[in-house]
Amino acid sequence: MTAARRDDAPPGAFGFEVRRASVVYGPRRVLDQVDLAFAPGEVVALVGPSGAGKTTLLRLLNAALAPTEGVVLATGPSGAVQLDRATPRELRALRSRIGFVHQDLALVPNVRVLQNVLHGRLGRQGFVAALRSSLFPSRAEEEAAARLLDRVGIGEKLFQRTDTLSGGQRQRVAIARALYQEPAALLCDEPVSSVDPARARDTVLLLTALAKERGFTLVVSLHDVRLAREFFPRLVALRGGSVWFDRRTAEVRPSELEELYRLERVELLADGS
Amino acid sequence: MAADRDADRAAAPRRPPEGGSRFGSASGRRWILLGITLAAVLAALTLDASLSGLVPQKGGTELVLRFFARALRPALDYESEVPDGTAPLWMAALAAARRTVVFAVAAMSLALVGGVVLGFLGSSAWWAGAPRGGNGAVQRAFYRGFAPAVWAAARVLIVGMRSVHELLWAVLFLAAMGLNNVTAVVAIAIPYAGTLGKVFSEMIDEAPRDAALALRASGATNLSVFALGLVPRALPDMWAYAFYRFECAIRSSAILGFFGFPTLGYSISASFENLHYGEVWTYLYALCALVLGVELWSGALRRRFVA
Repeated sequence: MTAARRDDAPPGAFGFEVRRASVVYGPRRVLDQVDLAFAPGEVVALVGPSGAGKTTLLRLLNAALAPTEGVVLATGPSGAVQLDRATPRELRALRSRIGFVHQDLALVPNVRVLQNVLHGRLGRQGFVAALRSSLFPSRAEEEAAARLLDRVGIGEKLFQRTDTLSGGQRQRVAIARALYQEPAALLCDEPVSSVDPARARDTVLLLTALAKERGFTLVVSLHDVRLAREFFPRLVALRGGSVWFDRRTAEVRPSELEELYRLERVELLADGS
Repeated sequence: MAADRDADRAAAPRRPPEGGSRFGSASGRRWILLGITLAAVLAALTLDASLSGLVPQKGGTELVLRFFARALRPALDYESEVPDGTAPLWMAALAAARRTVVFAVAAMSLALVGGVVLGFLGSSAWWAGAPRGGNGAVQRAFYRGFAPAVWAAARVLIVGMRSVHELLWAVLFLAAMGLNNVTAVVAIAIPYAGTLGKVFSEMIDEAPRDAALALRASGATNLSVFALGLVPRALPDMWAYAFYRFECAIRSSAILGFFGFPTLGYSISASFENLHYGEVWTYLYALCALVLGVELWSGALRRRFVA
């Protein structure tokens, strides 16, 4: 089992470096001069009130968004790549190794679970190969998808239509799709915002366990501070587009977290909205 | 004070959240109603339409009554002498119905190919893969110059093909190529391809893009994103619409019979001219059965695939 795991594990996890990055939409500075570094294989939670810039930061890391100012680097075993300077080919190669679990999951609802999982490999396939594996999946592909679904706990759903699944099950599909990428890094945007508390715990537990077992870098944005404290060794708190604190979880005082969210309420009152 | 002003400014631009109407206030709706009424009156005046036009001409009432009297008694056999060896009426109706379907299927197959190509090329999503960032001069030139040209050409072609009715295409082709079966098929296929292209492109552009964006974010090629992330979202609607157009194609194919193509329309016009109203009803019922059959079939398929 250990040997098989090593085969599955990516050859090297990605790290990320964000240097004085800002994202500006019109008059709004969504991210303001953010400096952060994520080491390869690190497991980090992004916390902070909504609108703090967590999603924007995640989108910078997979180059879905380019910083208005500053630099974002992805560092792999073959060196560092500056994301907004990368050629389309480099960018494709990078993105094919960065899994992203979207808040709204972004699955294709009216195809089978199998197809959605196989979509994880599109970054490494040309169009013809992609179409072939989507329409006529090979035995090996089916087995690989089934193994991943088993791992996330919904092995029996392989041939079901995706939109017949519950919200929690669909989330597992989205995670399996990201795993099928054999990710060097996995970014998750509020993965537990739409599931009940018990399931939220399971999901976070699953994600952190997968990161440990497969060795990829894991960055998860979380609204639930308690889950963040319980499962993540490092917390990065964002507020108003800036890093509020960035510390080992053990060193974070509960009062600091309280303050993080209390300030939000004060600001809301001041905004009058 | 300042807060008040801010609140006003914030509220002003998004005015009708609970009113719900796109036409704004009640007075605005009154103007629209007035405009429509005015247009109707103007149209009636211009056309010199009077109700006297609805009074039947001499013998007209009788004809209509005789025609509808046969509605409940469609002919089971020919209403005049036919040469020996002529197939019985029900077989003739069946054969005409079969030819009607064959024409419709042939036309629809052509139209589907054309409609899918035009629908893809005419959608903005097909061209949405414009590369970001400073590289690939050839690619950039392609997306800046060539792509908009092809897109515009597809849109123009769609408009041109569908703004001419299939009957007009048929008249044109009849004059040019004479009465042969290909003429009818192409005459139907051209406007249908245009219509399918227009509707398909809209369906693709209106399909939810979340999955497509997610696939692009994981490095999928533009073509893979389009084919596997976007088209599946639009496909159920595209199927449903294609089936609806197939029903329309059956009617069009029947109507083209009035020009002499061997479909149900030909049988209907021949019987009508001979005042064999019973036969006309037999053929009409055959046409109704066809359309109803396609409707039931497409409904069953839709329930299975679209859910």
